[in-house]
Amino acid sequence: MVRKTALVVDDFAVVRNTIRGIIEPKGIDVIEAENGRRGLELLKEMPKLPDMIFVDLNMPEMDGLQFCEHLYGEIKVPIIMVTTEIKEELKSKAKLYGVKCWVMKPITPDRIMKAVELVVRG
Amino acid sequence: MRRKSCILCWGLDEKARSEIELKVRQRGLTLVEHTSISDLLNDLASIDHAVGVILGPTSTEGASDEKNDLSSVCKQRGVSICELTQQDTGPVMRDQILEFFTGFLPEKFRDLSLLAVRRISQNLIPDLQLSWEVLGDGTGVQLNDQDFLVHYEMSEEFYSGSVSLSSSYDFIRGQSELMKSMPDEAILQYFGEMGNQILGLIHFNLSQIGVDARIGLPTIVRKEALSSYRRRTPYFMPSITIGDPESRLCVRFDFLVPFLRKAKFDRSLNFEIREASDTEAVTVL
Repeated sequence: MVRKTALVVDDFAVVRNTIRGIIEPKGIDVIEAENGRRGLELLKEMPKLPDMIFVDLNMPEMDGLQFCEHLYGEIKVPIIMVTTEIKEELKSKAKLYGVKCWVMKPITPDRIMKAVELVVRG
Repeated sequence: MRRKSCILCWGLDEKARSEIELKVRQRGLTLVEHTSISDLLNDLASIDHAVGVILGPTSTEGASDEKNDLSSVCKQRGVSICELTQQDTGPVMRDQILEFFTGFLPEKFRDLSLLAVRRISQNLIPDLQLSWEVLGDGTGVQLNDQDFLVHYEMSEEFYSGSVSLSSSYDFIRGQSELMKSMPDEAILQYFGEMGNQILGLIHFNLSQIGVDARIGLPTIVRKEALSSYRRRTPYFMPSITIGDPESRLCVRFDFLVPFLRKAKFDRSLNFEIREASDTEAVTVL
């Protein structure tokens, strides 16, 4: 089976590690970034684009929506927003910027894997 | 019209008044003294932001009738009332006053806060050996004994809420194998995320009654800055503190409902406390 790659962008290492712990055993390698700006830098450096991006909404420096806005129209990688926010207005904005899936915290293996299946299936 | 939420009082002697005034101020409220119960009743009718009434003890018959009238008005208007049985500034009075302040926070908020702390802490640190308890009305956290504090706020037009977690690294290390050899900053990361998720679960529940707030970025205060850290309380914020019985790990919640009396807010708390199902939690956009 060909392994996939995910970029995980979150300011808290505990969240990045939790997502890693869920998806790595399922065949998805993880590259981590601590905020949106670093995420963009990594995307430029990567020889091949990741198969999916997990991104937090509320982050210092560059938040999740700004990150998605920067990517919109530039690359086609499915984005999964992982957040405690539930505002419809934010979801609509995220959709405009190409976010495919919205996952409400707390993070559980079922939620993350359901999101992976949804974006991989397209 | 007074804009700051206030407590109206009558019949307190000087010592009791000065002790109560201190506690009232600590909660961002004003104590407004009256010379008679009828004056107090008039004020109660004209002040929108009167959230409570404290009465001193009395044995005169006339006052007793007036007190009964006042009690009914308070009940109708949803204003909490506390009639002191003693004003000796001793433990009986202190307990009565504490109970009075604790009563400002609707029961539903207490239950929701406790559920959020238990669920999220269990999810993030499954082996955390701690029995979470409600620790009174939230004024007892001694920040000088703690190593860090993480604070989050959420707000919308008519509602605000905040959560603050504080503890010491060594205490946390002693409560969990997972945390036992973790560096300070890594522990702080866990508690930073915990605060966010706790407020997220609370927000999810309040969204059922139309609260559509946005959670802000965390304020993280480390030991060196803790002694100068002061909470801003511009309005009355009924609060609750949850933690271990000795307050070594505390989660304090403040719920602010500006310009809305408690009873009005209580009536609107018509929601079932619950967690999102996986179906609700994962949405295709």
